[in-house]
Amino acid sequence: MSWRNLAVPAAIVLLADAWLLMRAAGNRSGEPQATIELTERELNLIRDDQQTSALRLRLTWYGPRGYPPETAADWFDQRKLAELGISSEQAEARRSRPRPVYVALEYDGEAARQRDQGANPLPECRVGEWVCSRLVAVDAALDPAALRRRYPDRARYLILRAEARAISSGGGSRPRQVRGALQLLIGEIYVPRDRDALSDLAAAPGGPRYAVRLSVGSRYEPWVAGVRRRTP
Amino acid sequence: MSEVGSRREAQLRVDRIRAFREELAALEREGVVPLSAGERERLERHLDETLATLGARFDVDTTESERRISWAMRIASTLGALALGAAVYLFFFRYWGLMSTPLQVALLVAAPLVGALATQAMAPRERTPYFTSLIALVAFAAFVLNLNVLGGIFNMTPSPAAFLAWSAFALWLAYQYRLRLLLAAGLGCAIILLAAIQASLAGAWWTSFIENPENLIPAGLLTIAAPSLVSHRTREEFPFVYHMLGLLVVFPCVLILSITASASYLPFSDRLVESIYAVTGQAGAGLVIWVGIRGRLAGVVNLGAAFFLLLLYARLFDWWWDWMPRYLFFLVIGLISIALLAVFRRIRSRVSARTP
Repeated sequence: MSWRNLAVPAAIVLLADAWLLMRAAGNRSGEPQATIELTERELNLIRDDQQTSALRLRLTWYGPRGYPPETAADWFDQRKLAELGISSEQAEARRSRPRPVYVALEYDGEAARQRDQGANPLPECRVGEWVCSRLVAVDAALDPAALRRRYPDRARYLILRAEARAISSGGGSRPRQVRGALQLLIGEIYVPRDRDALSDLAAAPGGPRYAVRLSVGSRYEPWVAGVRRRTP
Repeated sequence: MSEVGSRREAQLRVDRIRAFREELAALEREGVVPLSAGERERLERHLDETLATLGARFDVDTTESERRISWAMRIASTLGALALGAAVYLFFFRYWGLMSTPLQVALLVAAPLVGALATQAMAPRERTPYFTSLIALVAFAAFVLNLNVLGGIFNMTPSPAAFLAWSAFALWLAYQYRLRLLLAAGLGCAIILLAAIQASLAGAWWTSFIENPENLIPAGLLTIAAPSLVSHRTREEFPFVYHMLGLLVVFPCVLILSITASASYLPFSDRLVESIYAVTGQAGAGLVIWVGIRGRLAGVVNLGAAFFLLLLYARLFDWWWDWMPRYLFFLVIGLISIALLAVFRRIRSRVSARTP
């Protein structure tokens, strides 16, 4: 058996893993760029996959007027698209490509209150209901530092990586409208520890039953920093 | 037997001997070549010795039954490798939540290393790498699982660099142990990596490379051209994999772009871009047929002909389907097919006349 033949594939595996682990360590080293305690409203336990024993939380968020995340929020107009490098000509020709951007998500702030107190609140956001996420996208930019300067409160604003694209609607007899849409690059978060505690809490009646301390590191990648029972 | 240097050459020699024996038997029956008993015995002994030597040295199929069983073994090896790869993947997903993070990392790193070690241990034990191929593919699946799950554990943004690592790992195993399946896997990863880089250079997020088939075309063309740029004298079965995989990437992309070009980078109207791809695809398929005939590459000729027809029928559908009565449309398609048959027959007879 030639050990030299093994050295190359072993080096490829070890280098790739070392690079990946160093990236993960780099993200979590130093002061997190944000740490926010979210509830079950914003981080739902994913229960639909019987093939895995891993616990994952789905990050649920809204645009400022209660749109689902896939569709455009009202601040995400042609001016904002141009700021992100997406031309409206491309969008009108239906040739828009998703661009990597950073999005600011406000937790339990003015944007969520405006949505819930508007003329047509979403059914899940009516008074007395608890399932409506209070995490609302308020802005997007190419430069995360500029976004942090605009939203400096690290306990209220998360900045995460997303892809932005233009959506064109209308056409024919109706006027063509171009708006922006966002999708988070990391929409599911793995729970490495406290998994038993989280499973027990999620099995209890009522809600929101648990609170999760979510940190975001220097590479704008989140992790679960802690889980606790939430008292109503 | 000094001229036989590879398994492929040995198999060709065996096939020639089998054809020679069948033809000789027919000629003897017709009385054209009357061999004496001594000559006949010497010839048979020589042929038997040649077959035995080739069989022992290169593990070639010396009979039709052996050839059929070899095909069955190749299919079983491929399906077994895919199933075992899936089993490793799903087993880890089933239980990884029950492990601590250090144990997860240790198992994920160890799995492809153990796979590479097992491949190395198995390779010298067989002349045709059925089990080696199976183990190597499982090792590759373990490495894919490794980077995927580590990225998931640490909630990392997906990176195309993973495809660089997967491609390097698979290509190394493929070249080291002459594994065509691993070669295809490695090339597939390299094609995705190049397409992702192209999409990123165009300002898009890399995972969106799939939205525009133009991202895959340069990588596909490079794959087709690679055997001409790098000599494969000791791996003469590999260029076929390069050619077929490259064509299987480029042709569907051109076909899609000839039907809908809404995602194209070209600064022209959709209609013009679709026409450009239709014409280029038709000419390209013709060129592939020509090169395939000249180079005696049967698979390449078949693939070129299939896409030539597909592109042609897609264009005809686009032009005529809406305004032509259906019976007339299918009649025209039938007549064009008959005309093409006549053209292919002429080409065939010309090629037969030129080939000695």
